[in-house]
Amino acid sequence: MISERFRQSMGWLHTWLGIALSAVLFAVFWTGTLTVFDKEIDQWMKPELRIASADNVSLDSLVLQRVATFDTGPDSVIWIGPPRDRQSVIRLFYDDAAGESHEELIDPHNGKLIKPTDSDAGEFFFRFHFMLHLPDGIGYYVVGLAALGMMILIISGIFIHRKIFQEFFTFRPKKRARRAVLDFHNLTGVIALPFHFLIPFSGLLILATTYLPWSMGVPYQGDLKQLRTDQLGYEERKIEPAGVPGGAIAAIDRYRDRAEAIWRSEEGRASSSAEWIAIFNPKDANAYVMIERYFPDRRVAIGPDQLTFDLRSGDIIGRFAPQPVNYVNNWIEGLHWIQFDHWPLRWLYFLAGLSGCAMIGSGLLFWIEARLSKGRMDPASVRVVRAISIGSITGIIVATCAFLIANRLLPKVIGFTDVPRHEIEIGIFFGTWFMTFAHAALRRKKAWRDQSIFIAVGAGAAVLLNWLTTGMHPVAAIDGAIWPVAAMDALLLGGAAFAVLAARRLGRSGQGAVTDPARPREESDIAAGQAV
Amino acid sequence: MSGETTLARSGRLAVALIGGYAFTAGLVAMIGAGLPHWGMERVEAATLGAILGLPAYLVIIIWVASSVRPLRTALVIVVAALTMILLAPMLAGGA
Repeated sequence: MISERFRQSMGWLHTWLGIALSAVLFAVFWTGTLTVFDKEIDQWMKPELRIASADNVSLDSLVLQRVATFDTGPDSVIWIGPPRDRQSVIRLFYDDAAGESHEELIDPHNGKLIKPTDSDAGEFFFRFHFMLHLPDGIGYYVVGLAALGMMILIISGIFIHRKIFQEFFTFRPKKRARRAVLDFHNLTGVIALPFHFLIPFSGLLILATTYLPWSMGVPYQGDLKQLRTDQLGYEERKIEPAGVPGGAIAAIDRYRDRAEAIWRSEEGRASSSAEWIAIFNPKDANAYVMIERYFPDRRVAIGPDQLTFDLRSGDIIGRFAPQPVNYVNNWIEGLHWIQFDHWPLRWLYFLAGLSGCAMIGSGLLFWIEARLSKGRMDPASVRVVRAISIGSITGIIVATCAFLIANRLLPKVIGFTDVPRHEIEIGIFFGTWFMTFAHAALRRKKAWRDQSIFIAVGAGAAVLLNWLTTGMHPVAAIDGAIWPVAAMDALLLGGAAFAVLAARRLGRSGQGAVTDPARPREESDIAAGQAV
Repeated sequence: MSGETTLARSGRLAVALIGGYAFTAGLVAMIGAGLPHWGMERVEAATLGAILGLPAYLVIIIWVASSVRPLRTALVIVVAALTMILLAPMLAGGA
């Protein structure tokens, strides 16, 4: 039986961590939720990538000629990524002889080079999700602490509520606004409870060597590079370059086919297909290829699974697959990466992510209202705390809309400045976000409603601008089966409609959540509200 | 708990996070260094350490936050953490 004392200690833990981490957690959850559709955001923000998928793509005929022209050094590696379910282009990566990295995108229908709009697009949200755009890797540690706190918040949140599952079925939107906020917090928290716990857990595991470098290195006498090699296989070169020029590489399709046939024979027809073909020592007599599945498309557990072929003999000279413990680890990490092709699950991840945002936001809102109702905060503190909350919740969504709008308004080639186009987009994101905090400080409680209107207008404008700049309105996207764009537009319009409803409701109640200082304490408020 | 000062609560949080980290770091290192002696490969042991270390960290934080005798709890955690941190490299050295 859980004692009242224990419940109270969980109450203050929940409150403290909640206040300290809500703003960061909301930002991480919001960008993580967007990253669920990162490739779709890419297609929306880089219209050149809106290419229909192609079947049975022959890399031999489409890319090998191009690859032969690359200015690679004797020990370079060229990575070739065939089209995938959510990414119809072929991707090429290599370092040139001077050691500079290059990336090229190839149209799978004709082998032509694609020059996409210079935007970080989905990649921006992905990186922000675990680095917060902070220098020197500080973001890793802030996000790591937030992830740890999130798990503690989930555990303590369960203990606070005596009847958590009964409360799950309790939602009284017509009751006092504060009560409704708490009900909503419990509802969104419990509805995706395993998700809210597994996401921070798997996220921390992905970066385990960053968070526990000393510990992970102990069995390796501190040699973390060797640990990574044992985990990932490919760091070590199978054959050194001979120093003698070799002929052009004539065929790689057959090695991909052989690797896939081997995987199929072991795993059945539903085995994943090759994700990468890496050519090592490309212009040397000792060239060899590795076929890899790092993010298998039909399996939760990530790889890498690798098969290495000697190009001279065609023999398999290396094989790597994670061992049992690492396979378990990679399964947990795979839950977080969601790189497998499964549309219903992808949408569930998106909805669970949104429920996480709603849980974090409503928790913060409840705390503010609970403090206000007791009259324990002076007006200046109220103003600051509320501005931080509004900027963290609606502000980042407004900034996201501004990011999309900037992407469509900026010309593809910018003449008036040397700042790269993608950095201007990011600058607009942060500039807008910063202004939402200032706006919230000026407008106080009315800022909730204002910023809901900004979101509605911004999301609607993004759809309109996409139409004007690419000619692809939502109906045309559906008609042309360009689903990523159709879904993005639909979500933006849905978000705009939701923001309108929120603004109307906030307008009706006059000033957001109503406070009611005279109301009697209700049971489940005790631990959460009183503990401060 | 409800009668505790802010300082006492901050102390609990500090012990939970910092002491808990030291404990976790020690435990992960112990698992990584120890299990190879029973035939597990290093890469497997190190990864298993990370998988088990995270839940241990959570248990420590909950324990410190709710402990009836917080000073004694803190002492136990710090001693256990230091012991493991000192022992683990020796274990690894012998492998």
